[in-house]
Amino acid sequence: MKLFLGIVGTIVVSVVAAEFSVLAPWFAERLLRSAARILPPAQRGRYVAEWLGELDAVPGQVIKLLFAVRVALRAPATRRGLQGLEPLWVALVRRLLVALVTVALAVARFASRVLVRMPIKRPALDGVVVVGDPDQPAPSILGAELDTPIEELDLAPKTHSSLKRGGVITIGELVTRSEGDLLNIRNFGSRHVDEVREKLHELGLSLREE
Amino acid sequence: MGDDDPRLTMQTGAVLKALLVKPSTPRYGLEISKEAGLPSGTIYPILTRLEQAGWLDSFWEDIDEAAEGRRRRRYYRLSEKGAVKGQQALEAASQRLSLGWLPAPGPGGARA
Repeated sequence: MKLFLGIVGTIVVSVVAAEFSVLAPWFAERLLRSAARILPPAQRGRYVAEWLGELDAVPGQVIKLLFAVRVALRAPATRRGLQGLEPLWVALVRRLLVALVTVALAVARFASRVLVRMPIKRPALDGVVVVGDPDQPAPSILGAELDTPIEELDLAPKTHSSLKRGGVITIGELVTRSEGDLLNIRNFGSRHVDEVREKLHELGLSLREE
Repeated sequence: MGDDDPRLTMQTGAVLKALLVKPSTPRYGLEISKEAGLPSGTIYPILTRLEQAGWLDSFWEDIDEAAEGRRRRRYYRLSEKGAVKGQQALEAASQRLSLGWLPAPGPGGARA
């Protein structure tokens, strides 16, 4: 049991170290040496030497580590291969355990997939005032829409030119003005303000409140 | 279960099939796992069982480790017994299960 824990511990440490691929081959060798300890003493030396010879032939730093992990995981099976057939009940119990672990892993994997796909519920944004008609399709309040030049509003030529003179180029700039701001523009009357209000309302927008 | 013959699992069958392609050529573990299509590192229990059953011979590579810059490899080769019994086991399994390890024997046992 101590040996088993030792192997598991080494595996965990090794996996963490995979981040540092320079250390990976060193960990791989440690792992192989430690895995061989569960083999009968008479065979240990041969298998360590064999596995290390293979390790040198494995290309890639992290792949070496992966190789060592696989060898270590199969080391108990290698030991059984050396010791011959095990009693029937041992074989049955072992297979049962392997089956249980396999099923548990599959369930865990499935569950994690389901959890990841589940949409995250965001809290409602409090205090956001929706302007415009709620029955209209989603208002074009955000993002690129605000950079749209006021030409797109299809205003009367006089209204349009007055706004330009007042320094209003984009829809974004328009919605930052209040009615009073607009009336300060020369030749801009309440008639024009009403027109602008109407056009903005069609887009679900409005002038700034005074 | 027949005397000391190893169990023929899918993986064991794949290893035997790979070794039987060129029975007299010695190979080391990585080569065998690649040819058998098994993940590297998983075949040592199989090689061990086959060797214990006397189906495989193994020996050390004869190199100067310092000059080569790597450690020597353990090479495996089918024994005479292994070549015969392995072939028989594969054929029996292929007839029983038709798992496709071997091409189905042609009419009149055309397979060499």
